[in-house]
Amino acid sequence: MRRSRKPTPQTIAVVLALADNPTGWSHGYQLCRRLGLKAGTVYPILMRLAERGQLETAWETDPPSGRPARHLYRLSGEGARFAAELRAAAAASPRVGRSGGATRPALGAAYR
Amino acid sequence: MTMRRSGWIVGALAVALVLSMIAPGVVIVLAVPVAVVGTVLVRRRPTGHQDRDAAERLLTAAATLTGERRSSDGEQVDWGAAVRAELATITVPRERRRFAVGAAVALLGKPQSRRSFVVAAAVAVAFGAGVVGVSRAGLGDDGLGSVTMLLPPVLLFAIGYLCARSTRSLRFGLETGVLAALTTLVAVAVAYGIEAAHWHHLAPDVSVLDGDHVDFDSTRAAVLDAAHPVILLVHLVFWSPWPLLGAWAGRQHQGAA
Repeated sequence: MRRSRKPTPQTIAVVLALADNPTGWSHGYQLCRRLGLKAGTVYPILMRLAERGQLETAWETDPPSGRPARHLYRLSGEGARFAAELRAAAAASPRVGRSGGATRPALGAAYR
Repeated sequence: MTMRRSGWIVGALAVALVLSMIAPGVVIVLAVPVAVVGTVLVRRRPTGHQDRDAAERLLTAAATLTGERRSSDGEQVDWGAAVRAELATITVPRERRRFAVGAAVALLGKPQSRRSFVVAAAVAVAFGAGVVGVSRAGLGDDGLGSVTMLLPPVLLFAIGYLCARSTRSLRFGLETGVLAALTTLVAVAVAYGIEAAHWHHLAPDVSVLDGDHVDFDSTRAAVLDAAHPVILLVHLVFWSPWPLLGAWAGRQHQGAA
């Protein structure tokens, strides 16, 4: 599906964080902690990426006893292409390499 | 049963007792759906979850209100289950609360107000036009009160039910049903205003509400009598449980399917 709006710094951070581990699965709370973002920011981004076909989702197959299976995420082929576009745009624009409007150091680190 | 729950039950019974003395009709209209929903919820609650904290309760409530979302490949994704599973891995109470608040915001998202408003506006226009049509066709010799009081509950129940069922979202059913109730109330007020003036022109001493003989000094008095705020409030109180009950039934039906 075609994107109609420019991605936010938070969306870029989530996509690039997922792109750092292209074959492995990530889970939501892990992304929140890594990027220093709240669940209220990360989960809507994950929902949108999944709706656009840019995110593969799966349930954990062998969770430890006593807790439910986690929902896992990784970029799909289309998501990987989106991440490559974002990296190219970040490389072309010197402004994006810094904080890019983001206030958290962890978010800025995700651009690099 | 805990002391706290006992306190709530005693308090609710006391309020119901007072209300039953003031307005027994209201109690019946409100109590029946609440009793049905409450009974089902209590029966459906699994045992062994008495130690659930506020964070888990919040996410459970938010997940109940929202439906599953469809990904681009058509697969249904249960985001409510996803965030609850994530919450189960967090042990620090403060962090649990923070995560739960954020995840609840994510689940609830933005209201689908445009779709709800389109449906609600269409219902209101159709119902308002229907009321005027019934009046002009001479079918309402006994007044329009029974039409405006008794038909909307059926209509609002159906809207809540269909919207919740078709979208698998209790929230969409509630939003649309409640909005439809409000817009229909406006339509009823407008229809009463138009028809009270019309009836006053034809028969100055007949009330459009119930067909009784009432001496109105002017058209304005006839209109104000029909579209009186208290009359409209009674309508709203009588209607209000039905869209909620319809949305709940639609979500339950979808869940069972």
